[in-house]
Amino acid sequence: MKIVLLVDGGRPAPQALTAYCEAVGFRLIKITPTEGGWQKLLPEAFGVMLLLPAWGSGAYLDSSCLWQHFLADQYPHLRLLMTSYEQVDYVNHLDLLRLADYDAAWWQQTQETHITEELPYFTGIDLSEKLKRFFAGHGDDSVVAVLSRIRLVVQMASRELQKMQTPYSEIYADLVKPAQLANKWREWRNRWINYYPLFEHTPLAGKLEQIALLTEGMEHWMLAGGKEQEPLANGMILQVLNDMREQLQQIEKQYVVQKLSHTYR
Amino acid sequence: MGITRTIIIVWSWKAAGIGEGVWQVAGSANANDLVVCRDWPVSQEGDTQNLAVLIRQYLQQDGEVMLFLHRYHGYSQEHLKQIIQQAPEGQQERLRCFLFGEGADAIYLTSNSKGLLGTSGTFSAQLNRDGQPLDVSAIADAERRLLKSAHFDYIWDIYQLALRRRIFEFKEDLFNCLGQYLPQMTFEPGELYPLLRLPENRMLFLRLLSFVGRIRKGSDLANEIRIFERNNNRTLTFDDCGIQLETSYGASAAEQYALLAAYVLRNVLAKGNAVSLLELRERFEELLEQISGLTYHS
Repeated sequence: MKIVLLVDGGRPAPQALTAYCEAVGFRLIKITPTEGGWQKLLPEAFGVMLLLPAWGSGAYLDSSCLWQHFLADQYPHLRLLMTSYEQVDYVNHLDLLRLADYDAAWWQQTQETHITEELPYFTGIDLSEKLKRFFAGHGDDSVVAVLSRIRLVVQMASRELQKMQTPYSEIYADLVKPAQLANKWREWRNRWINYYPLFEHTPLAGKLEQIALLTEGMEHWMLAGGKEQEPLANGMILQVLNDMREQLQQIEKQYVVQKLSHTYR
Repeated sequence: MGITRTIIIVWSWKAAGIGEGVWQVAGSANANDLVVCRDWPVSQEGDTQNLAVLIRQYLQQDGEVMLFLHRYHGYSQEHLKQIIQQAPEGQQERLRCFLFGEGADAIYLTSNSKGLLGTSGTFSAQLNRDGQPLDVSAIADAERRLLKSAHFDYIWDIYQLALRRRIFEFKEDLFNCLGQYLPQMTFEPGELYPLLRLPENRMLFLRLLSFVGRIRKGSDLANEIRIFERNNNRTLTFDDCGIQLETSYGASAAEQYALLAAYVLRNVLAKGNAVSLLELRERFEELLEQISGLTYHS
């Protein structure tokens, strides 16, 4: 029996959907994008099915465009299937209130991701637009811009400390303290917290989760305004910021644009 | 100069807050944006004449007004109706009115960091984020009485879409529940009521009652649904919905709302006729079609 990976988008998937899929020869396996392991199932899968719109952060969300990007890039022969309580005229869409209308032949007519041209409209916040703003170089929604400002200060302080061997008390007084790292960090945290839960049901959830874990390692240092010398001296802070930057670059490259935003410089 | 966008907020500004007054919006693309703060409880006679005069002032010269009335100041659906009816002919569609309270709506900073209202009659609040205090404020410059444009714009935009969004989310949440009984597509008269009365469906059941206008102001049910609103940071009630559909979207929107509410009341919440999920969906779609525009800002 072929398998289809179900992303329920934080909503209760009807038992009838599982039973229907079984009846037409497909086993539905629920996956949780924030947890590891689901990508291992992809090579053997017939497709990924999204229950749309997803629910998260107090709103309905349309994650289809991000999944389309991911599959077209990594697994172009898989199908991106969509199911909802809406009436949508689209070759890969299953209407939950008309399951009986979709026979085994329907599944064979569905399109693989590399063929799909335009996705249908689903009511919900378009997460691909949200992600663009996440990476935008300016504006209230830009998460990357704030992080880059923090990294710039840390990078300069590290260079002074390690290469120029300037005493940290001087670096702190002249560079780190005036930069008000604690405030910048709070600003970053504030924007991050508003954003990253939105992507819980998308293929980039795992990467965002890794970034969230990375931030925990330096939270204390940042909130203390960078007073402590050791985490900077041993390179830990800059390393974490570099790791975060790398993860973010990968996300932007894969899901937003080919040309990376200037804020990484 | 653009059209004047005015948000009038009737709330507890005086007792412990910043007092009544008019605030401008810093750096707004629209130089005429204003927030007017008033602390006017409902008069004993229940008339809303003073509000009608205030609204008329800001509706002049193509102005748009969004009015927020605090429920604890005694306002209800009836007052909204009165206020909208008192707006000059041809200007009603430029007036939107909402009831709010209990810290549960998007207008509160405690619900939404881009909101306007803080704690105790202010525009600022302290939140707890992962055990750490986080100060949030809609104020750009307190001395000059300036608010941040990002907060003003966010509230303006989100409440412009509020009715459509609330109805769409209600529909999806209802189908989340009814979808669990698929492949059953039709429910016999009276069959749905006990299912919706199950404890796990309590919030949805109360929303259905609110949708059909069966929650009385000040009742236990009203208090219960407010608790759900507070805990979920969402507006779940429809008491400010029906009348506004007519003024903002026209008579056919109000008519569709009335038809759907009657269908739900008679067939979903009582033993009228059998309920077909396809028909129920179609009725929701017909209503949503009448409420033009976006459901969400991306």
